[in-house]
Amino acid sequence: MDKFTKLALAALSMTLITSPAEAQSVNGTVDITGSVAPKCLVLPGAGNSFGTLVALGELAQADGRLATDLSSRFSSIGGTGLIARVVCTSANPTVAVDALEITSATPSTTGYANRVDFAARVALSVTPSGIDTISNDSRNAATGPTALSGRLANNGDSNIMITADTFATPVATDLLVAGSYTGRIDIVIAPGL
Amino acid sequence: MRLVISLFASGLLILSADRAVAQSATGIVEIDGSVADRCLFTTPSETISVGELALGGTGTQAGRLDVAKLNGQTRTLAGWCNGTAATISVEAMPLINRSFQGAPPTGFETRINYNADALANRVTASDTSTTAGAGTTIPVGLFTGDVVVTVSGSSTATGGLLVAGVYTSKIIVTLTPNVSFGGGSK
Repeated sequence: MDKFTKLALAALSMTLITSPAEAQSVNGTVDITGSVAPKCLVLPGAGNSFGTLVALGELAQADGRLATDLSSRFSSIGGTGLIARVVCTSANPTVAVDALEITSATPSTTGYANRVDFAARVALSVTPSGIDTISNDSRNAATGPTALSGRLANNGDSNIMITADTFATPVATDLLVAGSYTGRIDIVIAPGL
Repeated sequence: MRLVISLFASGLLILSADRAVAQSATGIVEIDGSVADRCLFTTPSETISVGELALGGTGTQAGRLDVAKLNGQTRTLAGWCNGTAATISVEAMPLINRSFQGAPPTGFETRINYNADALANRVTASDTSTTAGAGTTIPVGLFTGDVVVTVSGSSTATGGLLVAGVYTSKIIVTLTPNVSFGGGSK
């Protein structure tokens, strides 16, 4: 083999070794999913209850009939216990309100009353703005669950305020029987699945 | 050959984030109050004016107490008690001649006694003016309405002649609320 032949073989050999192979890739895929449960919670603390005791004191006025200042007394005595911050993860939470009349175990008779009815009102701030009010009269069954017009406001402030008004005996001239009286307002805020 | 590596971590995430039962927030406002035991007279007083107390005429009874003037006299007060433990009592005070001082001469009278009843809520409290103080206190309970006061059994100690003068008296009806508080419940 002459000198030129040897060079040609060497060049061919290099070409075969360094010739580029066909391109081949590998792909990795990570699928991620998750969910947020529909829930409502009381802030701060992420609890699930709020409320207070409103001790109205003497319910009768001097003439024995129902006092006329109970609405303002309810708010002033209840104070900050009547406001709360509740948020829900769902878009249109529902609210149910049930006002339970204020009653005494002492029996009544004609001209007397052992029951005081009233209206409970729960005002809820919603986003982007506005207030939805859900009310219930203690003479009636519970109101709701009623869907709110939007999400409960989550702006760091309280978004629920409870008030009560139109306290009344069955007959306006009724005298209240002496005794201890108790009543209640139940409010259930649900995610509204 | 294309090699595809697929990591099914998503399946694990789905399991761990499985939807919890919907959690609600509950608000409860408890309300309590009380009503004190009370009694109140809405018609607290009436007057019985009988005029001449002595019998007229010229007979043997002339100048002596005319019992018909007092017996059967009735007046209606009005009131209420809001407690089941309320009581009622009545005190009849004798009609006394306020114009004459001292003990009456023999054969004369300056004091007229009588009985008084007070009817309320279907119970009657009674008293006689012959003894000082109120009669027996009895339960009247929860009521609103009339308290009917009736006079009966008027008399003088000896049936003597009434000394001239102005005679006055009082019948006092007392409603007492006591304490009837019981536990209230919804």
